[in-house]
Parts: sequence; structure tokens; C-alpha cells
Amino acid sequence: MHPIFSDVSRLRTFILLWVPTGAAIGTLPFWRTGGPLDQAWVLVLWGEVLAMPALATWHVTRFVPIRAGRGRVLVTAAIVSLAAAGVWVGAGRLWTQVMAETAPQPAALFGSLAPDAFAAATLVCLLLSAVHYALNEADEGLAAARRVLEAQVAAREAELRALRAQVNPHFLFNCLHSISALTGVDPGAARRMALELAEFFRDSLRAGSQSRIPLADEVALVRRYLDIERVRFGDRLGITVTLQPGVEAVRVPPLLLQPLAENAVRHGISTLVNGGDVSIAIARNGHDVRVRVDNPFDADDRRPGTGVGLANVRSRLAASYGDRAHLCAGAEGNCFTVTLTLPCEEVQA
Amino acid sequence: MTRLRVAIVDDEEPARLVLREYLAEEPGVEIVAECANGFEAVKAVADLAPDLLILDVQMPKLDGFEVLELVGRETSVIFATAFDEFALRAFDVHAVDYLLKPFSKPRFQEALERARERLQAAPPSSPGADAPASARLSPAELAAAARPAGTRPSRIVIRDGADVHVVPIDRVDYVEAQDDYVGIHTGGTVLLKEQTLAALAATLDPRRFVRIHRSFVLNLDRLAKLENRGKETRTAVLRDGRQLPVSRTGYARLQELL
Repeated sequence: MHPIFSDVSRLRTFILLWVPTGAAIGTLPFWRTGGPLDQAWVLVLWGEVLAMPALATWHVTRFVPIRAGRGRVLVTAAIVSLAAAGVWVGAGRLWTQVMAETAPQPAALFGSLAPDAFAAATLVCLLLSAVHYALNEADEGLAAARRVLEAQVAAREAELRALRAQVNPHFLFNCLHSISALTGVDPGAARRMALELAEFFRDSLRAGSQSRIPLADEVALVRRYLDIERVRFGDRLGITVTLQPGVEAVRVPPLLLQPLAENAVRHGISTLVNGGDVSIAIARNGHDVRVRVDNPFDADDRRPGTGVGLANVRSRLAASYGDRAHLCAGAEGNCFTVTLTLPCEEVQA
Repeated sequence: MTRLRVAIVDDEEPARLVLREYLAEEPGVEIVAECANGFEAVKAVADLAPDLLILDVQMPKLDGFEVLELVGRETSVIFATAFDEFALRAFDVHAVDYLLKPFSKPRFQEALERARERLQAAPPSSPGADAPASARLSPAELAAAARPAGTRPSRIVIRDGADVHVVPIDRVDYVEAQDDYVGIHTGGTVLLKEQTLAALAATLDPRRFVRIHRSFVLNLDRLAKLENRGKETRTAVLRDGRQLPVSRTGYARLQELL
């Protein structure tokens, strides 16, 4: 959309300014010769019509944006301005000849005064090109700011969703039930669990308020989560977490791995009478970090999961890394595996 | 006051712990079994015939609803769950007693008292009179109400004494009505379940399972061809060669789907 027509107030300003400008451009060269002005309306009309080729220069200049370089922009603007002025002068010659019977003066003088009109029209077109560029820049700035804002809102929403998932009511109520149960028989264990739970939520909230946290912190959070679940599941839940030295400082979106651990417990270990191991292995793989979560599950127990957890992780990956990160999930026999590949973003010193 | 014989069913040790603690202080209550999964619960009901089950909803192997479906006629049930919006809605709709974890001792005593009253009014196994809630409602209906809208069970649970068979729906070839039972045919074996054919058919996906006859519901995947034997008599031939009769309305239903 043409930057002047895209906005009503800009269009109003342009028309207000253009009406006297057009009239002046058409008639000025003829004033200098002192000709009779009673036939000037022919020239006023002609001057106003310059608006059309002048505005049309935008259609060419928009293909050569400012970032293409000052030289190319200037050359392009000059060529289109000259062309627009030429078209206008040519149209003026035809117009004055057509109107020669009612207004002989402009037709007679046109030849000698056309060069001045041409120069003035070129100048006006150049000015208008400058206005086009200025307006385009302003529009693009606004659009860029809006995109940044939208990205921020999306990231915030993803974090809120993650936090909401964090405070999974099922997890919270079961933990409170365990604490209530332990209070009677093992007050020390009840207190330990209450403290663990508090630490877990505190860490989650703190992590959630940041855009990236060190992988080591995320892994600590996951460990804490699994330790709490171990109180509920006892020996049914085995935990193996291996973090390759050297990847601790890689920055990741907070609460990215925790939902995977939670899925492994909810849809894996809790479906098995004898439980099993949740295994989390994190290692560098070229320029990427690879996270692999394995858990056994009951393949015969086909109560469907909602898939919300994985979808959530996927959308957070997309929001944080675009297509530089991947998530694969699938079952093989009685083992469910999720593999996460993230680009290495080290802490900046 | 008669002794109340209770079985505790929960896969989490702390959850069993608190029930044990609360029950220990109740007069006239005996804990006859502690079960960590649905299979153990069904076995405990078969072997020990408790008066009351305190039943967790989410468990491995069989969930609380499936346990209820298998033993609901023989025992009274109090459900216990931490958070499950669908289950809670189902409990409310069907007036089933339930405990929300964590629950207080007074709340637990209240539920226990109500169960005792129900049992004194009419023990579950005795027919007629004012039946208790767990026998009044159909376990299948309750389980259906506890599922998210539009979803269907992915398996059929069948009890054979103290044993439990779990049959994934897509392994069912066809189901045959046999008086008060249905025979579930799967890979050459037949499992009997105490349910009417209409009630079972209502839980199955109507696009995959068709009532081809008053006594037969067929898994469409198993159908090889339809044979025409004289007027009005048609036979469905299954992939394994077995033949089932097709009634006129059954044929109309098949035509609609094929």
C-alpha cells in the first residue's frame, strides 16, 4: 500500500499541500514571461495532474529500499523523477495543443518554457521520493516494534503455560496427601517432603521469571522433582541422570525438561506395578546439546495421554529456537523415548 | 455392630499409610487386604469378600473404574482421588461417595459412616430393597461419565474368578450374546463377561463394531465377505473363515457403513 494512501491524515495533508504546489508548478514558468493569466486555468489543471506521476514514483522506489545503499537510492530516485517529469511535460504539450483554440497563449509559449517546468517537476518528484522513503522507514519501524512485542508476548505466554503445567494440580494434591500421610508415622519425612516441595516451587518460580537458565539449574530442578515423586512411588521409581561435563553452562529456556520428566512418571512409571527407571542423559553432539529421556511404560495399557505436555515443549522450542531445535518422541517395545536437540547457547561472559 | 471388613487399594505407599492410620483408630473395622494395584484388588475381593473397598482412581494395570466394573456387585466402594475433573464430575452425577486427597480424619469418618449405613440397609450382594449406591449405578455408565467427552474405552476388562483378562478393543473379533453374559471372541478364545450385549455395544465405536444380528456384534476389520443364501438369509464370513448370521436390520446397518 502506498504510504500516503495508507493513512487518512497523511492523505489529507498531502492534498492540502499539493493543491497550491500543483497550481504554482503549472503556472510559475508562464508568470515569468508576463503572459495573460486569464488562460492560466489550463496550466493550473496541468500542474495538479503532476500528482499522478509524482506519486507513482513510489512503485519504482519501493523496490530499492534505503538499505540497498545511498548511491543506488539516489540514482533510482533521480531516474524516476526525471521520467515522471518527462511524462508530465509530454502530457502538457498534448494538453495545451488540444486546448489551443480556447487558450492559445499557453500553447504558443509552451515550447520555450517547458524546460523550466521540467526542472521544477523533477525537483518536486525528488522531494516526494524523499517523503516516500521517510514514511516507509517509519512504517517499517512500527511493524518491527510490533513484531518484537508479539514475540515477547508469545514467550511470556509459553512461560505462563509452563508454570501452569508446573503447578499440576494432580502432582500438588498427591504430594500434599503424602505429607499428610507421613505426618502420622514419620514426621521427619513429612517435614523433609514439605521442604522439598517448597524448594521445588520456589526454584520453578525463579526459573520461570528468566528467559534462559543454565542447563545445570534445569537439571537440578528436574532432580528435585523426581526426588519428590520418589516419596510417592518409593522403589517403583528409579532415577538415572547423567550430565556430560561441559554442558552445564549451556543456556536453555526454563522448565523445558521438567515436563518431560513429569510425563515419564505419569505416563510411564505410574502405569507399571513394579515401576522402572527414568533415565535422563544429556550430552553435547557437535554444535548441539542432546537430551534423551527414556522410561518404561505399560504398552498394553492404552489409556491415551492428552499429549499436552509434549505439544507444550514443542511450542516452547519453536518460540525459543525456531527450526534450530527438534523433539522426537516414540515408543519401542515397552520403552518410551523422547529426544530433544537444542543448539548450544553458552553463557556470555 | 457388625465388623466392617475393609480392603485398601492404592498404588502409593504413603496413601495406604494414611488409610491404615485412620482405620486403626476406628472401632469395629478390620483391614483384610492392602492392594497396590487393580489386579490385587480384584483378587482380594474374590478371595476375601470385603464389605468395603477404599479405591484409588489412578493405578497401574486396572484403574479404579475398571476395578469397580469387575467387582461392583459384590462390594461397596469409596473412591479416593487427588484431582481428576472428569472423575469428580462422574462421582457427583452418580452420587458416588469419594474422598479428595488429602482428606481429613473427620471427612474420612463421615464417608466410612455412610458406607456402614448403606451396608446395613442392604448388603451389596443381597438383591432388591434399597440397593447401595455402588450397586444401583451401572459401573460402565460411571466409567463412561468419567471419560473425557467423545472418547471410548480402549479395552475390555473381564473377570474370571480371581483372574482378570484385559482385552484391547482392536483384538476383539466379535461379541456374542449368551443369556446374561456376552462371549467375547478374540483370536480363537472366548471370554465370558457378565453384561448384556446392548450395554457392551453402547460402549464400542459404532463405526467399527456393528450389531449384525440380535446376538452378534462384529468388528468390521474381521469381515471378509457377505454371502447371500436364499432370500433374506445372509451370512458374514470372517477372515478366519468363521461364519455369523446377519439379520435384515443388521444387513441394513452394514450397508450404511460399507
